[in-house]
Amino acid sequence: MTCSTIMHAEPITVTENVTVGETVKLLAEKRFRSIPVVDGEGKMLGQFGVTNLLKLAIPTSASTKGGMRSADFMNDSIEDLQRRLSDDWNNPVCDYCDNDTQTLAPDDSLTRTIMCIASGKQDNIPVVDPASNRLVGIISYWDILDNLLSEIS
Amino acid sequence: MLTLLSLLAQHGALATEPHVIGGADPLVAAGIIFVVTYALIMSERFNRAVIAMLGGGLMILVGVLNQHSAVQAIDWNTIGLLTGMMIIVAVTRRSGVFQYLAIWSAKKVKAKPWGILVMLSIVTAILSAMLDNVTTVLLIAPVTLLITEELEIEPYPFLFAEILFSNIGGAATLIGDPPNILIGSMVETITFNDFLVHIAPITPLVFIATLLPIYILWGRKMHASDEARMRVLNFREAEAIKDSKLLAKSLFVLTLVLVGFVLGHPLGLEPATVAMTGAALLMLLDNFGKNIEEKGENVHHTSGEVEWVTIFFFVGLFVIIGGLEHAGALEILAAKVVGLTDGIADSAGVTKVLALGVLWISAIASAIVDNIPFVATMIPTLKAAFVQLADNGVDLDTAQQHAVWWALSLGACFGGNGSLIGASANLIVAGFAERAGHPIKFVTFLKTAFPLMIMSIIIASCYLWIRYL
Repeated sequence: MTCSTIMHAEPITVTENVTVGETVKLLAEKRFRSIPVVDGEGKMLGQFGVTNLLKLAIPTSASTKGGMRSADFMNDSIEDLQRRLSDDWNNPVCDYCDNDTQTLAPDDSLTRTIMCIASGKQDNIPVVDPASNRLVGIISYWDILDNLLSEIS
Repeated sequence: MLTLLSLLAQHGALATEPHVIGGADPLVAAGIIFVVTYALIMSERFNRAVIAMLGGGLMILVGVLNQHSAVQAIDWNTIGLLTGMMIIVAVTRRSGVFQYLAIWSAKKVKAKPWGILVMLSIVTAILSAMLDNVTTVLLIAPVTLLITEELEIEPYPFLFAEILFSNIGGAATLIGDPPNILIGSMVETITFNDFLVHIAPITPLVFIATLLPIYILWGRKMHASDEARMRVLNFREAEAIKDSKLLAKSLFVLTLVLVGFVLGHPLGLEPATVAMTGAALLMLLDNFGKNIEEKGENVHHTSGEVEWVTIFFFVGLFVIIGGLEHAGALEILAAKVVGLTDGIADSAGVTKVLALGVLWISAIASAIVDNIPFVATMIPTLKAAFVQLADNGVDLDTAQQHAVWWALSLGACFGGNGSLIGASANLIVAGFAERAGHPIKFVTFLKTAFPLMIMSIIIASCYLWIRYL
């Protein structure tokens, strides 16, 4: 069995020029934790998720490597978070997505697929065609669970 | 391979005279290793510690030094002092006291931007004098960026000022900056208190002289809205203190160590002894009440925070310089230094030329290259130059020699401000600023920092001239 047999084909994506605000609304509407970002030809650029959003809502100094390890002395309100987000809200999402996302290839084995999900680094693993770098599917732990349960029943 | 091994065995462990493989001239071999390793360090393409260790290893492998003399060449006082202070800082920073200080000082000036810049500059200068510069900016730069973000103002002038004042403040004490640690450790007649008496007084002058142009360039135009200032005023600095017991223990040990530095010399205690004993005492206090497993983990964690890369860099560097010294290369370099004073027969005149020459050369050199290897080479070279001068009948007394050492210290410490690559602290701030989306451009920094550095060296020249020359 390979990754392509259990992946979710034609996943919902956002294109590179969609704004951060629109992407966040889509995440909230679909209750997704992250979403793949692709270019006009469907080539994978990265993923944008709730953690990327939250990092934009705290001071840069706290989300930067080598920055503040804690900022307990701050007393933020929702307005403070909104203020920080407002700088980025209308910018293209591709400026903020993780572009070191781990991906799988359609021919990858089921074992590799499961090990990848079990590592817990990402909720969704995009499945990318290695030749064209086009996004062909997405796989999450739900896909594994659904397949497991259907086999057992 | 066997030939190589037998050659290695020939110049074996007990040989003290340089005996280079293949009968090559030790001077040439040591010179090549020195030039190549320093060039590689300057190129910044490789890790400087790895290159220094390889260079040190080569000095032994080719037979310029044997292991025994290589170990003797390492200045253990420098190594002990650096390691000890790094351990003390690693434990102290966990208390959150440095963040507390930065926020407290920002609130003291009612979160007005120029006031904050001045306060953070003072905090940076004082901390840099007591700790090393890199640690200081590692702690202060993130909280500075946070404050400027909340004030919605440009962070560059703040980070610029902190770079400059970390190097200026660091110059004030023996422990403040690596060039001073090297001078204090390698020159037997110089003590911790000598730095306080001879170098510390000039730093407030340079501080004020540097602050003025910063005010004219940026300070007078700084403005933050009342709303933004309120955000900073709402910071609860007491919450920044993570562990008040640890804070008390750290301050206790830090005070003991500083007192130890001041009183140590008459008691025959070198700075390394004071720093390492202080580090051990702080780790003991820090582990009080923990079970044996937690103690092990905690000590392991603290040791991991020591910048071993810097320590190994120093070790490698000392061996390379030991090799140069052993091969007689520093005598030649010293003769060049003595050559600068040709035609001057009195020791006062020689001191003038040497002190001002060393000040300006080390300032320019430190702006361009890493000041640590520069100073580490200059110290034995100048020592040899003093001996050669004495042989020529120009005997510099201790005070005159000290004037030259102060010139080296001021030149190397202030010179680090000349460019973004002039000192490690500069690179640390630049790296952090870039990651946080506020890159500091090399040329932009150079345009303002270099003239300010030259100004500080002019002040240093006047200071040396009036006081010692």
